[in-house]
Amino acid sequence: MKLGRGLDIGTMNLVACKETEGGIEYTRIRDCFISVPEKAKKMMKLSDVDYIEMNDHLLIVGDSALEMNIFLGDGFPLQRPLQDGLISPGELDSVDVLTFMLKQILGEPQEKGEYCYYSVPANPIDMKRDIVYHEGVFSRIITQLGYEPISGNEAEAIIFSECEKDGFSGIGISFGSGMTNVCLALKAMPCLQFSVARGGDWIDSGSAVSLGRSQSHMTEIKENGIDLMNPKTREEEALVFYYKKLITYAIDGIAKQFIMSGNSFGLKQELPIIISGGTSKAGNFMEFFKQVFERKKKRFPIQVSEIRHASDPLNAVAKGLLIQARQEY
Amino acid sequence: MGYFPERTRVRIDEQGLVRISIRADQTSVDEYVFSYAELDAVQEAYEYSMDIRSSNIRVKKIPKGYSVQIKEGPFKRRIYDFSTPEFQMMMNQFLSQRIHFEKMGGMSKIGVVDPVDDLKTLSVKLESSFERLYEEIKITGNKSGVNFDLENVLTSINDKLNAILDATKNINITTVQGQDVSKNTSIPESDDFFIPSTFEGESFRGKVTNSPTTSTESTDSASEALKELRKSKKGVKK
Repeated sequence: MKLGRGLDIGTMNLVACKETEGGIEYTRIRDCFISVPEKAKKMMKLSDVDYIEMNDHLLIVGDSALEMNIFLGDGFPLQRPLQDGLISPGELDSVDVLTFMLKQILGEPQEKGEYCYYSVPANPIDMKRDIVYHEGVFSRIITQLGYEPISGNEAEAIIFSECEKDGFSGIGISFGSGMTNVCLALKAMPCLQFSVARGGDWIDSGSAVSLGRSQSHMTEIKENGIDLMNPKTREEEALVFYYKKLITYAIDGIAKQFIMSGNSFGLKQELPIIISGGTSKAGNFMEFFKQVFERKKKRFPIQVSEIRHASDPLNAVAKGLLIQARQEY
Repeated sequence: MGYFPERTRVRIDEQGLVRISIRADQTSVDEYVFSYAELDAVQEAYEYSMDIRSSNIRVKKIPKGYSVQIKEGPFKRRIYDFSTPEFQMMMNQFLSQRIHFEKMGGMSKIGVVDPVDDLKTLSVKLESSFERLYEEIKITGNKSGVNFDLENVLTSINDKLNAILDATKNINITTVQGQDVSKNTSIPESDDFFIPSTFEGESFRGKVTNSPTTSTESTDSASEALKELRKSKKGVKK
């Protein structure tokens, strides 16, 4: 097995990867948990659900938490350690659970101090928060697990995993659950990086408010499969409306940031746009994105050669980080 | 040679007023001041390829670009014709300024609107109404053709304005400094926060079943290409 690890820390999923003789091995876990009373232990055993034993309660973590949340109802709220892509000060209990989850997916290092590149978002342009605390917490967790942590920008990682044939030049957009991250890179050099605090969660909450439904109801409709080019119900129409708003917001954000930069990096060539992230897994997302972009194209300040989907949208970031980790050896 | 190479220059000042300079000829510029909301509406209309008409500015798409009418006085407007790139440049200048302005706190930093400004807005609205009324009279060509008693209306408005002014005579207007909301809600940098040296999660008892997935792809090719690219960059620097 080759040395080096990639770790994508997302609001919805944590994905770790390593390279084995058989190829790249990805381990994923849902970034959520629920707390249940200790007396539910017997039921958990009977249901064959994995749990963690705390002093006076149990924690169900990962995918099981999501499944059990639907089964147990609103009395046992789903807790998510990250909000809008970032961990907040004061969430130390959640960080303990995150440490446990990261240990499960990373496992032991092959050698002490093995390099682990982990993803961080860029500073958001529409929210007064910085990533310094978030970056510091994960650096400490990964160190505690025996690795040498190095942070890497989430959207830049997409360029490393998807733009080898383009000379590592392109615009990577990661449509995540809590945030949308953007990076414009030229020959592996990041020129423009930013994030916006809108993602899949924003789509769910916006459409829920507009229809007077619960957010989890809208999430369920979305995850059951939605065709963005052919919405069938009022709920789907509302979701499509917010998908369009999100894409427009991201495209406008790129244009504004590029104009603000004054093209100080001297971009002259055409660049591909590479789309990744869980939110981009909706049916016909790429056709829908291209349709929205076509309307904006005339005033978009960057020449775009093509718009394509990452080969594996859920794992592209982790793979890009693994490529960076391998540079250390 | 003009004062500046572009036809326009847009600036948003600390009061949230948008100052636009338009090159009139090679030796002079015309300067106008608009409210932030007014220019924001113009930019939004431009974004959606729509014409817009507000009390101080009208923008209309014409075949060769944009026609911009700016109000200079109660009965005077100046018309500027912009080519599409010129107008686009002006909008981009505004966008760029807007981003800086919003980063500095935007309208939330400007604070509470002074009541005097409200009265000014009211007077602008009245002025605009009278201007329209005057135009109507000019069109009909006959004051008596207007179907209401103008003198009575004017007396009534005058009485109301006097009443407002009397009522505000004894009010002390305290200027409330706008608070920078963003600063209050922002989270200080991590140096201000304690991060424990260890987290307990590592010693939790329990398990999570994970089934790794393996793809047959490899990072070898990308890793090599990236190494080569970085080597060649170092070579160029030398």
